[in-house]
Amino acid sequence: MTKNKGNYAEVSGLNMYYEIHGTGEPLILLHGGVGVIEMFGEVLPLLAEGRQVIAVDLQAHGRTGDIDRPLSYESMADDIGALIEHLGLEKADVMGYSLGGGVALRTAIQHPEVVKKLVVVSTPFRQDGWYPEILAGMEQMGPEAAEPMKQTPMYQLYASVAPKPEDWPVLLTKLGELLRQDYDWSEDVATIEAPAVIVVGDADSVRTAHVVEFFELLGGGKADAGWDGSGMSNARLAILPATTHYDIFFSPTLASTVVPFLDAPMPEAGSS
Amino acid sequence: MTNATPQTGYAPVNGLEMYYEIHGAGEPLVVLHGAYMTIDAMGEVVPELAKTRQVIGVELQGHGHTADADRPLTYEQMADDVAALMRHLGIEQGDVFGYSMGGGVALQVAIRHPELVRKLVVASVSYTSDGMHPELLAMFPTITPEVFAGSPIEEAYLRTAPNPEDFPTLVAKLKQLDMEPYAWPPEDIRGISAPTLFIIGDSDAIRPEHAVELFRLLGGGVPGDLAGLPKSQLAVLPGTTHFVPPGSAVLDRAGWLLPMIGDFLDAPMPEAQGAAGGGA
Repeated sequence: MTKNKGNYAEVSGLNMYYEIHGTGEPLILLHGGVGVIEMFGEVLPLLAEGRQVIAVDLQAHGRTGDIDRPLSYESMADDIGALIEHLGLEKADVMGYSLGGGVALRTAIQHPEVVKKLVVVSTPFRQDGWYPEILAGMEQMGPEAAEPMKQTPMYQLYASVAPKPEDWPVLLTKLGELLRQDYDWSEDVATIEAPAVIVVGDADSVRTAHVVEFFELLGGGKADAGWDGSGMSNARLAILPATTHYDIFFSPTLASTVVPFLDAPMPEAGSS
Repeated sequence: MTNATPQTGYAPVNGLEMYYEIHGAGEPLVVLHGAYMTIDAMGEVVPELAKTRQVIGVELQGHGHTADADRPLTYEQMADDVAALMRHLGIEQGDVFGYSMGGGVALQVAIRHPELVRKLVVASVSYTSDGMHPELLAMFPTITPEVFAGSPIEEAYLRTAPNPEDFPTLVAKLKQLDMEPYAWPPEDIRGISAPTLFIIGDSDAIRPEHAVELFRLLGGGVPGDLAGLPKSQLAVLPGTTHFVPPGSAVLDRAGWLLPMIGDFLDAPMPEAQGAAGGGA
């Protein structure tokens, strides 16, 4: 199966757009807030060299129209769980960036039976994982940002594909409400059994110390690997040098960092 | 290895006959190996880096071809030895890349001899002994010369050392170095003016929190989209250990290391603005 063109899936009341690139083990790929599939640039084809990438436009993003429902990580994670089932996949790897990373994380928490491996890029597990100045910026996200943000490449992409481009202010309003919600998923994260890799830039919008806490919640960072490597958990941490929140998602280094993790054989059950 | 045979020699510095190898041509990069190691043990990173720059591989006191001297092994003394070697070779300023113990030496070269260091690449080292995982600290006292019997480390020593019978002395001195608690002042790290790339594995001997602390002292730990990129960088390599098992160590990750070290060293120097400020 090498079809490369887009499809729509009827899931959770959404007409959800997705594209399939490449063949092999399935990887669901989730973009960031205000983003669309295309934002991954050359990362997507690099990932698709060795697997089947199923790239998705989330609710109200890209070609997937909005519905009368707030944007929440939890409901978008249910959408992804439903999409995996709709596609007839038993399990899939799930990778998301920023907003999509939160959705990927919630998918692993809410639908562990469908997630094989988890890749979380530039996403905190708790609201205070963002730097304070980033949180302050999120306060500004809302309908008032609609006009100024029309100058951004993100809007250009949105307007070129959205079924109803006039919904742009609605998207920003719903995103603002989502981004200002306080949350703390630490207890849920500690229960994740899927092998997971956290990836951030060293100058990301997510605090570096928070990222280490994230890694430790997943079971990593607590011990030296030992002579035989038995001290290693199934969790992985990658920090990319000289990389920020807004250049990590199209950096080829993101692909070369994640691919060996995805290619590695699944660890034996019970070893975590 | 590189096409040309390296230029090798022994430099008389601080009472040592210090062995070095010069590979390639271009901007100088001094490479400092870890404890128990040799230049060769640094793996394919050295010849690969030498394709685009002049790599000066050094063997530290009591390691490889460099015979021991009647003094303990200390980071400060080894840093002074490296500085003296650079001056002996006429290197006014060079980049320095150190791994593990060699990373500690590299940090001390930058602290004690800042005028010699342009950029610094430091892998898998802590600036305080509690930056290492506790089980590693507990392991140091159990090391004996016998645990290396038949290992590549012992084999390399016996092959290269001028006095092969000195291996137990090296082990004793390294145990002393590793077991002596240390805590370099944070001001010393903060005062390092050379742009620094700090690298660890996610399952390294170094605690990830410690790497984050060190990065912050170097001016990192800021949101680059708002604050601009700091002059220092942090890399954590996933699924990567300190030294063993074979194939999973930091130095085995040439595919990740070479582009990040190359990009870091090749980037223009940031404009002079004094020492790095502490990040948030």
